Formats: sequence, C-alpha cells, structure tokens
Amino acid sequence: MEYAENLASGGVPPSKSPRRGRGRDWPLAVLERPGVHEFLGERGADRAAALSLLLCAAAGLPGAAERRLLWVQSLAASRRWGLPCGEGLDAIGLNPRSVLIVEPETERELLWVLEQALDCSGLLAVVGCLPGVERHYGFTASRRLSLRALRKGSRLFLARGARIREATSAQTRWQVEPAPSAPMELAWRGFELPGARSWRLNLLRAPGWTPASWNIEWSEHENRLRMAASSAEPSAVRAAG
Amino acid sequence: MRLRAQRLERLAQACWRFTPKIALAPPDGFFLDVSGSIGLFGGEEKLLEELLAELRLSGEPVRVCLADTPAAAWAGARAARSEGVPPSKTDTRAASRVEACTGFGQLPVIPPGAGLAAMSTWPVEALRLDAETCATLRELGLDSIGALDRLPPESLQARFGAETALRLKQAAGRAPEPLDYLPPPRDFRARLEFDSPVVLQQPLQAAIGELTVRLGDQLAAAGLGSRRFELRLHRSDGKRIRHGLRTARLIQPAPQLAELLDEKMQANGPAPDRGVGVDAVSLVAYDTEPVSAEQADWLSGASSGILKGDLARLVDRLCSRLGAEAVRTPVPQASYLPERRWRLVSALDCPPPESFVEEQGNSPRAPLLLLEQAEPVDAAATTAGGPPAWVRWRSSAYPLRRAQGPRRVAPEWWLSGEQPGREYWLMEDERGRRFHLYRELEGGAEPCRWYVQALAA
Repeated sequence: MEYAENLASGGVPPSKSPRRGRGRDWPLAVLERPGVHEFLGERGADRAAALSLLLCAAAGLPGAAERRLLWVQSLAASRRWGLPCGEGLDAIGLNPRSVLIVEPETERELLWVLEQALDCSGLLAVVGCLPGVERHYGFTASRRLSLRALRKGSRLFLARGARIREATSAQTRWQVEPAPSAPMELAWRGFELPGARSWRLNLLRAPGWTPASWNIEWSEHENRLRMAASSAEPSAVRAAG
Repeated sequence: MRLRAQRLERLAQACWRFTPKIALAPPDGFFLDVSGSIGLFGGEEKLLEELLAELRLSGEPVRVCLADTPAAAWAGARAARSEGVPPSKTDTRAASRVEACTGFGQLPVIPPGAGLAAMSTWPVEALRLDAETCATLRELGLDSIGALDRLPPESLQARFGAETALRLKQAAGRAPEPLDYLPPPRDFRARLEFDSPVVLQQPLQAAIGELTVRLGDQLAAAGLGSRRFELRLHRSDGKRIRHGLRTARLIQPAPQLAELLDEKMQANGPAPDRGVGVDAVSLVAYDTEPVSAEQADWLSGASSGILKGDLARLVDRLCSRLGAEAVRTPVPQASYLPERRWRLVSALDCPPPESFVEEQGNSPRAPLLLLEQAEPVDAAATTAGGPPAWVRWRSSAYPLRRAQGPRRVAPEWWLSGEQPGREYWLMEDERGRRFHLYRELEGGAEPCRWYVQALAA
C-alpha cells in the first residue's frame, strides 16, 4: 500500500529484484506495477501492433499461467482491429481460455467496465482499447481508473490513439509503433523472411525514467519479450536518484 | 358453503414453497405431494406446522392430513380438526360425518401403510363415492370402510361398481392414483417478519441471508433456478422498498445472492431510513426455470466452477449491465480455417480452463488478433503463385518487403463445396507492419482474390 502511495505521489520506489536475464534496465518491468499504463499508437495497422504488444507483455507478467486476462474493447474497435485469437494466444504462452473478452458498445460503457475490472484483484491485467476518437477519457476518467488500480493493486494496459486531448494521470505512457523485424535469409525472389515480431517503444512518461526509445522483439525461442539486437544505441538513461 | 374454484386455487398456490407438485381436488380440496420436501422442513411435523401456519393466513377454514396415499389423505383431512373458522355449519355433510370419529393426536398424520387401518372405522363417504352409492351401501348395513373392506373384492366390484373397488384399493395403496398437477409457478417467494421493527443494518443482513437460504431450498426442491430476484423491505410506515436484481446465470439463492443483494442495497443508499424500521422482508424469484444437471452441479459447487470470488462477481456485474453474452472467452473448434478454429462463447457457459487440452502444432507466428471477417484487398502477386508486392487495405497502400509462405489451408471436406482452399502469406511492409493475407485457390482462375485476415502478426 505504501508502495502504491509512493507511485501515486510520483515518488520513485527503488527497483525491486532485477528481471531475469534482462537486468534493471528492462523498460517493460514497470508494467508489473499496479496502475494505468497507456500505450499510444497511430491508427490502422499500428494500433493493431500496439495491441499485439500488450498481449505479449501480459504473457510475460508474473502469474500469467494461472490468472485471467480481461480484454475490453468496443465493438467498433473489434471490427477495426480484430479480437484476440486463440491460436496466437496459445503460441505466445497465454492460455486462450484464460482470456475474457468484453465488447461494450460505447466509450462510456467501456470506461465503466474498466473501472469495475480494476476493482477486481484477481486478474492478471486488464487490457482496454479506446476508440480512435476519445470523447470521455480524460484527466478525470484516468484519475478514477488509476486510483482504483492503485488501491486494488491491479493494472490496466490502455491502448489509445496518438492524439491526446488532455493530460491524464496514467502511471506510465508509451508510444508504440511496429518496427521492421530483423531480416532472415532470402525466401522468395526479392522477399526476405520476416523475423520475430518487433516494435519500437518510446517511453513518454514513467516515474524514475527519462523519455527514451527501444526496439524490442518477441523471442520465439524463449517465448518472451526482449531487447532487439538493432536497438543497440543506449538511449535509455535512468534518472539519477 | 363450497369454496369457489378461484379461492381454492389461490389457497393451493400459497403452498408452492412446500412442493412443486400441487393437484386440485375440486370442489373443496387439493393435494400436495410433499414426499420430496419433508427433509427440507426438518420432518413431517415441522412441515405440517408450517403448512397450517401458511393456510391460517388465508382465513379460510382448512383441514389437513398427511398420509402416504391421496385417498387416505383426502379422508384424513376431512376427519381432522378444522383450523381457522369454526367448521360446524360450513362443512360438507360427508366431512362432518367423518369428523365424528377422528382418532388423531396432536397432528393429523396417518403413518405409512396404515391408511386402510386408520380408515376402517370411518364412514364410506370418506372413500369419495357419490351420494347414491353411499346410500346403497348404508342400506345394506355397510356403514364403515372396514365393513366394505371385509367383503370379497370380486363381489365388491360386481355389486357396487368398479369405482367403489378402485377407491378402496387406492385407500389401501394397492392402486395408483395419478394426480393432475398444476403447472409449476414462475415466481417463488420467501418472507420473514420481525417481532419489532428493525432499524439496524446488521439484523437486516442476517434476515436477507436467511431468506436466500429459504428461497434456495424451495427452488432446489423444485429443481428450479432464476435469473431475476426482488428484495422487498416492508417498512413500518407502510412504504415498500424494492431492490431488483438480475444475475447472469440461472442461480438458486445462496450466500452469493445475499452478497449481491447487499451490494445492491448499498449502491441504492442506506435501506431503512433513520428511525423508520422494517417490519418484514421478502425475497421473490421471478420467472424460474428448470436447472439442468450440469448447472445444478455448479450451483452446489460440486464442479470446479470456472469463475471464483472476485472474478465471478465482476462477471456477474458486467453481465447484469451489458447482457449475459457480454463476457466471452475463446474455445477451440474442429476446423482448419483460422476464423473457425476458435469460437467465442459466453464465459458463463464454458468449462473451466483446466479442461483445455493444448492444440498441437500451433504456428509460433499465428496471428494474435484476428479480424472478425477477412477483408478483401487489392494486391498483385509478383509471379503466379508468389506473394504480392503490395497491398491496398482500407485506402492505404503498403509496399511489402518480407514474406513467409505459402501455407495452404483446406476447408473441411464436407464444406469444400462452399469454400475454396486458401494460400496464406505472412507479409511485412517496410515499416514493420504485418499482414496475414490469403489468396483463394479457385481452380487457377485469374486474377485471384486476396484477403487480409489479421494484422500485426
């Protein structure tokens, strides 16, 4: 609880045990903390990339094997970007049967569902997908969500459009876009084989971090997210103190 | 005076909480088959006491008897002491005659198998015979049922008709008596009255807990469940406060219902106004439905139950606002087509995740998100049978750089008449956007049609 209050007040708790094999500087470790984590993505295929990153990130959370994931997106969003698919979930190590999907019709309903879901402490994570044009999500709504999340120790991964109307009180904010995968050998006249799923991750806001960028990818052998080889540039600078 | 049919039925309907099997026996009686519910009430005596208490509320003169055959119960009830209004003038002739020779103790119960023995001294009217037959029997000196029983059965049928013989057999339990039961009610209720008005929250909660248990027992005895409940608080100032509640799945009230009701009451503000107490609380289950064996298992907690605690409550709340189908989860299907391999079913209807057997041979690059419907796109293959060099999707063009494929997928053979086979490609554009594209294999027809089925690998 004290820890949660620290987060709420913007204080920086010292990083807990380093993530296995990824060290203290693994940026997505911050997603294990309770709170609201926003992921901004452009429209179309980019938003879909952000959503797939959220699934991969959820698969890497502690307790992913036994807890349930609540996926909340509006009907319109389902039509635009599709719904989590059992085969893919299984492939990244998330039991498809542990994923609960809710499709509210309106943004208001969606926010209500998110609030209810954050009150439930037994979930692995809540993933919400806001519509392309946000009408109701703003500072007040985000404050309500993050207070609930911090009180109950639950986490919300919220996919949003790139255009932000007003400041929100999310604990962390990221920008996600797809990144070209590491090329593999030549496959078909002029086409290379695509490599692992890759994303460009820009950290816009997180307590204790300065804005930074990474390239991350989904390792198909280790079944987890890791830093992509191509993001060698050490742009991540941890704030002192 | 005879009860009018309507009043009789109303009286019978008041007894639903004792059994779902109620049969009218006009003009002035009805049968309750309580063989299944005696245990719920803690024995025959308790059941009878509660039944009498319930019937007294109606203000009608009533007589009750518990026996192992309808015939014995019918006769016994007429032999029993009347409850409520003094019976002398209002009863039928037959009843008053029978009354003359009752031998009951505190409660009118005829022990199992003793139907005929108990009835032996009773007049023949107790056999539900018509007046003419009774008169004939009396003329012959056959006043009591015992005397009738001592006659050889063959001559009984020959001399006094099949009806007389049948009634005697039914009284002895040697012939079945099929009853025409009323259709079970759709609504069930339970009610608790307080000795003095209750103001505090705590006793009220306890009462609600007790009501859910009682109503649950009634529904369990009837094999019914409900999705719609109403809690009514009868306040001493005459006002009635109602809290309606809908649940996502068929339930029989139990602690979890008390919890939901409690939540509901808190959401609607403090239930009893300060100073104004509550005289009685009642709980109604509307539109009850039969509970299937599987659901019954779930209700009793015998099966592992897919949703527990907090999560079950969350799903119930979401479903009560958004509809029972609002929360869904993927379950595997027998199909090779990606859009058919997984189907979303209501999270309330599917077996627990533990029972999920991992599908074999899932590609590590299977799409994470599938479009609801594959969207036709403009695409041009570089060479016949090769991957497309670009794709135009939702009015944007994406030049493609990387390709993995082709992976051929045939629809189920029994559907092959309807759908052509497909050739899948996983494509990536220069910025890293990914598309799962497929081409329909339609007998080499050109140009072939392309679809995008998934975004973001």
